[in-house]
Amino acid sequence: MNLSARERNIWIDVITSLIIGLYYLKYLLKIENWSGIWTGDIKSFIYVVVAVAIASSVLKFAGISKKDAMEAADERDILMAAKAAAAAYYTLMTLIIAFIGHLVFAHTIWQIFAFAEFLNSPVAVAHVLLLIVMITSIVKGFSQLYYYKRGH
Amino acid sequence: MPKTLKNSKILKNSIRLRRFMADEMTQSALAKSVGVTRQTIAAIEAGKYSPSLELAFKIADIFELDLQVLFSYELD
Repeated sequence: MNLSARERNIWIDVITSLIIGLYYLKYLLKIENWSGIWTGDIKSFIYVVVAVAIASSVLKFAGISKKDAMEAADERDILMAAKAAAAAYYTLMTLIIAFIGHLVFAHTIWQIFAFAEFLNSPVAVAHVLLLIVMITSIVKGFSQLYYYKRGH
Repeated sequence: MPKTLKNSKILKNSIRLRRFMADEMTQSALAKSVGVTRQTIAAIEAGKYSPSLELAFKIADIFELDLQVLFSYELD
């Protein structure tokens, strides 16, 4: 596999986001009390985020040669980033609108359908919004890699 | 009435041949001359990326050729 420094960094970013996202999801599923922000095992979650972020930076730094470091983004990199940003935008809008729809209609239309506690907890809403941001970031990374692979 | 363009046409190029004829110029050397990455030149040669008009002119300039000699719009 012959990747540019930029593609290599995107791979590292995507894998980092995936690890953090999955760990975050695992943390969310363990929460029983949604009333406070310091719920569940948040300490170990923060440790994992910091450790993964450091490992990701080290990997990026180690993989960059002097020649790569001087290489600026060219028109193809900019185009791929723009296309990926468009895909991420649609994902973000879809998830946000779906979540707003849930917040608005949960009490009325599908009130039997669980997750009602979310509506009473701003912390839970913040967690869901953060999860949406993470999903969007992963979609952006994967889209960018897909466009690099497929071309045009 | 203007001619209707068919979607099955693609942008083809003879960069690889021209590099070979230019004393076996490497992709890296060409990339450096026109200010893009080697991967972008590889993608253009493989038909995976259509360069901007400006980049196409820059590449043609390197080989001292007209644009239509280096690039053509043909049926797939």
